Amino acid sequence: MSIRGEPVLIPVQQRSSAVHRYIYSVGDASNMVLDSFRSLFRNPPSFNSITHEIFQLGVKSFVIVAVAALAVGLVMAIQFGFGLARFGAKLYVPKIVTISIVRELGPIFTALMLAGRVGAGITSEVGSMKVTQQLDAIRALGTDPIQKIVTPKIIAVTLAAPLLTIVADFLGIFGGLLISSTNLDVSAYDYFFKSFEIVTARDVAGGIFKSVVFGFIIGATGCYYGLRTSGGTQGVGQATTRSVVAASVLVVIADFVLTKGIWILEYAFRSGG
Amino acid sequence: MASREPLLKVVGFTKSFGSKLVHRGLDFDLYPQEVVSLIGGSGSGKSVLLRAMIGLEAPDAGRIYFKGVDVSSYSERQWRDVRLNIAYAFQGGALFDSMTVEENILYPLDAHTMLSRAEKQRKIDEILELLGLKGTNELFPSDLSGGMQKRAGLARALILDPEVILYDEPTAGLDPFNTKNIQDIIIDLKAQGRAGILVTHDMPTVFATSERMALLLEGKIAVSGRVEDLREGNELVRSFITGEMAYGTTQQ
Repeated sequence: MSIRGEPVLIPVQQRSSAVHRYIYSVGDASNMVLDSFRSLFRNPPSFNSITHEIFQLGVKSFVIVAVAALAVGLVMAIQFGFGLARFGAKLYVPKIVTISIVRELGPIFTALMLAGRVGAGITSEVGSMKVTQQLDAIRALGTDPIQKIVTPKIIAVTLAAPLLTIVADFLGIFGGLLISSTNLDVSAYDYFFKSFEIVTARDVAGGIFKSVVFGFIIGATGCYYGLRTSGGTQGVGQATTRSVVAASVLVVIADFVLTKGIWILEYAFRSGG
Repeated sequence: MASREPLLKVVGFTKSFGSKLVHRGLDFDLYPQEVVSLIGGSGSGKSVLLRAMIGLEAPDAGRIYFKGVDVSSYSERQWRDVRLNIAYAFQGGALFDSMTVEENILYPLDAHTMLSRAEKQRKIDEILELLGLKGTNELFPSDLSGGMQKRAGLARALILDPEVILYDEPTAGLDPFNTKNIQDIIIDLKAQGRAGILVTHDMPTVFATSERMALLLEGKIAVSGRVEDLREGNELVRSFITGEMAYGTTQQ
């Protein structure tokens, strides 16, 4: 059976090799994502269901993302401040901290926090619905679990991730400012001036674009592992662990691919311009 | 039986899980305005057969007909229309635990009807009263007893006025009072013209509610017929009822 309960060519139990199982999983997850896209046009989820999910998954993640981002900014400024002070270059701290956070650390830290909190939450919620037959009930009532459950969650995380990344960027930069102004003899005015002198719209856009992709990965991975849950409450726990690991690994891999891609685009842009 | 044309008909149903063959070319039918009980040992595949009749499981081979139309190869989208006419009452209710009882019952109404909010509220209040759940509108499933959860699940399944109701162990784990309550509900629904298939181990409920019964054994319907005929007159049914039957072997 496929993830939606429809027959597939070869039952998953008969796929003995790990490669077959992996290919099957990728195909099944792709089907889920395609179905989710289709449901967007055929029978879009209600606005209320999306805003509800944004609140549950996005707004409630604000504190954990804010704390992590602030801590990253503080630590970055300390490390670079004392490291660069050896070369008399601590005035570069604002630029280095800001560019690192906006281009890389803001999106990736936000995504990893969301993979842990939101990814686990989605999988355990959907997985619990699966093992308690609530997903079957949705189907039995003539409705579609993809449209009712999966699509709103994927949309919500995809929208919430960039918004939280913007918050994380500001708080990370603010953390750097706190250390710079109190420990590194860099005034707040100089910190801001140097920070925004170095950051371009392309830097910000690249980071935000990455966070959109990360949000999509986290939402889709969480839903996929939730829908594949079997074996009762123990199965929910196992699915949740797998989901967080898979989402984190996929985010890191996607980060490399996107960073390389954005770098190539920027290089082409500069060479052309 | 009011009509000779079956509402639901299963022909040559075969289903396996991994290497375990659960159903071996099983035949079954349900006529309008009757309740048929499907009995058999644990793990004999009664619930799987019931799930297949509403498209929650796909047969490996065989055909399922609803009102004469072959629905066995329907896609998930096509099944959604069929499911408006066949309700499934899950064993544990399968209520959405993030919603109140009222929101659970409202869910199919919102999804499939254009009724006004007042009309929906009237239908909800009616069905809750019918099932003895008046006043539970704002309660969450976790606030309900097992029997109330089953009845709330049944209320949700019935709200779209289905022609056929599939009952999956509706009295399992209930005390005698709640069991009698569920039996009365099944009888009332039958009196309203709704056919049903009852999967159960609870023989008093079979005798109280059903016109016919079928014994599932070794992946096939071993015995089928009128309840009063089989109750005393069939050795296989008698050995099932008395607990003398060893599952996995046919002792005829």
